[in-house]
Amino acid sequence: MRQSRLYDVIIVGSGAGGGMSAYVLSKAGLKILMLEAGRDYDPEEETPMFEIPADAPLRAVGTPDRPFGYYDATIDGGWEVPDEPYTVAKGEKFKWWRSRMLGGRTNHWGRISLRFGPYDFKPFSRDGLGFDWPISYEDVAPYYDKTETLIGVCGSNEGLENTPDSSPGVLQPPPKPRAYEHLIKRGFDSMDIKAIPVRIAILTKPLNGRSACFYATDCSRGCSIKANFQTPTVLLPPAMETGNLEIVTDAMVYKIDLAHKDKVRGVTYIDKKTGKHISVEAKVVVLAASAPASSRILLNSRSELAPQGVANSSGKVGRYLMDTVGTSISAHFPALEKLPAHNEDGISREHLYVPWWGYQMQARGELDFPRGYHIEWNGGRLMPEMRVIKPLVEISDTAFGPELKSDIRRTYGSVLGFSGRGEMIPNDDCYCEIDTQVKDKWGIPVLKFHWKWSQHETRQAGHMRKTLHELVERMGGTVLTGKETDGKKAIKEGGAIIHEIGSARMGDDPANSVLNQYCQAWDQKNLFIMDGASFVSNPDKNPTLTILALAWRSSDYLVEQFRKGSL
Amino acid sequence: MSHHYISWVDRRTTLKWLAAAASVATLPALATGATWKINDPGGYGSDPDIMNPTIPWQKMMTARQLEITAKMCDIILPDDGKSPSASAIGIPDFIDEWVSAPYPDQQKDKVIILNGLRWLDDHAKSIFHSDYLALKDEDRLAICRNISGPTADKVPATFFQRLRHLTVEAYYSTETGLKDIGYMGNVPLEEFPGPSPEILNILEIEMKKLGL
Repeated sequence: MRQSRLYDVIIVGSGAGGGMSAYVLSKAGLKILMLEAGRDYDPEEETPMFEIPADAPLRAVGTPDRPFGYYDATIDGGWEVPDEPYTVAKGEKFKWWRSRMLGGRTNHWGRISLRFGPYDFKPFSRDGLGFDWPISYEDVAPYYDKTETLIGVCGSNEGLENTPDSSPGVLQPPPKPRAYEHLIKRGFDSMDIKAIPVRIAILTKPLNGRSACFYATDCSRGCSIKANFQTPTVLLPPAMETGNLEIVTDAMVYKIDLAHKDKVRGVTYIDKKTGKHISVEAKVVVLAASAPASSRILLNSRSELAPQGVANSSGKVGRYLMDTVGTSISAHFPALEKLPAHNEDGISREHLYVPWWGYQMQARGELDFPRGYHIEWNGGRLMPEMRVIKPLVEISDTAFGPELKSDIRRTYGSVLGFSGRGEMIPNDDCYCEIDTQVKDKWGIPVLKFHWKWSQHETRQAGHMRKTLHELVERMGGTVLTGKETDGKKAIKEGGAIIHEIGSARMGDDPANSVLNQYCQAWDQKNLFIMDGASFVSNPDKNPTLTILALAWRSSDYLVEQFRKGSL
Repeated sequence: MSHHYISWVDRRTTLKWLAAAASVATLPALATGATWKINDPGGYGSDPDIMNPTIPWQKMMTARQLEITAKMCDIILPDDGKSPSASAIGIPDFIDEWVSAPYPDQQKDKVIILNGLRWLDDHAKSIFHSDYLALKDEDRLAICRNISGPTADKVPATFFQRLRHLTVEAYYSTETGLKDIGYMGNVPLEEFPGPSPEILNILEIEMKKLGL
């Protein structure tokens, strides 16, 4: 079967990397075919904006069918995807969140958008651990500015160490802190730790036909007024308007097809509606299926021409998979019980956060772990879902009766949750490979994950807990959950923070990296990987903003090379 | 004169029961320790129509179980003059929705709740020589005091705590509960105003007390 159209570029995946790539390439006039493994999805039609818990089955709590709750903007996914299993090495723990919808995980993500700083691109040079990126902050800074301007990020410039400012006029104004955030800030002040406005991809001013946030409805449901960043509302519509982008959904790519050893011909996908295997060709292929999924495609593309898999002459595909170090606590603060009822919805995420403050302490050797973490929080007068009420029932010493009602009314708003989110250093024990035993519904071999935290991460997790406990004490509170301070027990399992990146890292040397600094495969020059697979390190700063910025930078390079005829 | 619990079928939301969709017979037998896989039959699945939610499983509680649940729910959250009792806003039906659901957490709760309801009946018979529903209100209160206390037996104690949680969590996640608890969000605003000067003043006093 011959395809009816000739494409310049096939993009696999419609999330952050694929969405940005489609935006840049289609604007440059290239003809694009985007293949998305999930179904079509329109946030303007499908976002439950004002529904309350009682409007959904089981008060919208998480179930195995919808683990983050009924309203979460994840379709056919979560820790499991129907018909698409994965496996984990015996005795190890890893979990992998996926979704099967246009826009992928950009529909529900937390939208925290922190720039990597100068230190973050050269970690090995600073402390001898992990690896340096082949690029520096200065290479990416212009693309951070462009990305923030395009998608809309609110926040402020604070001039803090390794916490870069944006160029003037780039950021949207941050929302005012909530009442409880004044208390948190004062608590951190007393520990000489700065809490500053968070940077988050939510509009506080209208932008390019998108409305500003109206300070209601949890962003994890998606946003029908397009006030937050998700590719189906922000990047894909302008790309479609160029007339250069065609999107095919329910198209699960599983193989890269080679023209010859050094050149990609196209991809083969399964049309999930019919089960047919369809091969399409293009001059260039961009993989952006999410780091492990892209690695799976490369490894499953083994052939005589590429015996270790496509783009894998270095043997590094699947290697140096990373997630974010995470721990959480919750605590009750009697001081907050004194506040009268008021609306604390805001932008549905923290308005302030704490960037890593310990660079100098680490330089002086005062900490027993090498890399940093930031602190996020939530709580207060959130929409009363069952999980919001649960701790109030626990702290009430009234078993039943009118007094129980009074207790709940009084304590509502006084429970807060805090999370540390920290840097993981890539190691030899964390990787994914093809499971030789298990196949998915379509007969495609699945991924097997291997995972071991090192003491760099577990010690950091212990420090998170101790820091948060001290904060709670200073704020006059009581820790409710997360009392354990042994980092080995406190750390969440690999994959749990849903920042899995790495597994096809960029570098200077084709012998020990998969991609060059433009996310271009060393082995096949007309193949690019524009999701988080290219990451060399995983600073505490959430990866999506950097995925977007690097996809833009790589797409600019792709266009330039394409025009030169060198792809 | 005890009034009967009237089942709350007239939810004013869009949430509907798919009465004929799933008969009990088609539900998978969930063996102890079995894990639920995404899209196993009986649940709402991984891609339900979110804008028009429906509940595909059948409610399994008997009229009598609902009546007993209603008595318990109203002891836990009675009408206090400020907000209605739990049964007045259909919480017993929610308990039924919950324990009838096929998912593992809810199946665990089903065992706890149904065993507890049976225990109440047996207890009423053996201690008060009466049907639980025919007991005087003060006797039902006495039972509640007993099973919520530190010396209660495991089955009724576990039952009471679980029912207490489900009742309160379900109550306050309704329209009525949102209002009663003082949730003032879920309304579109032009700007987020931040806390009022009054709130900041109170907070300042509290922070001073904490030495902050």
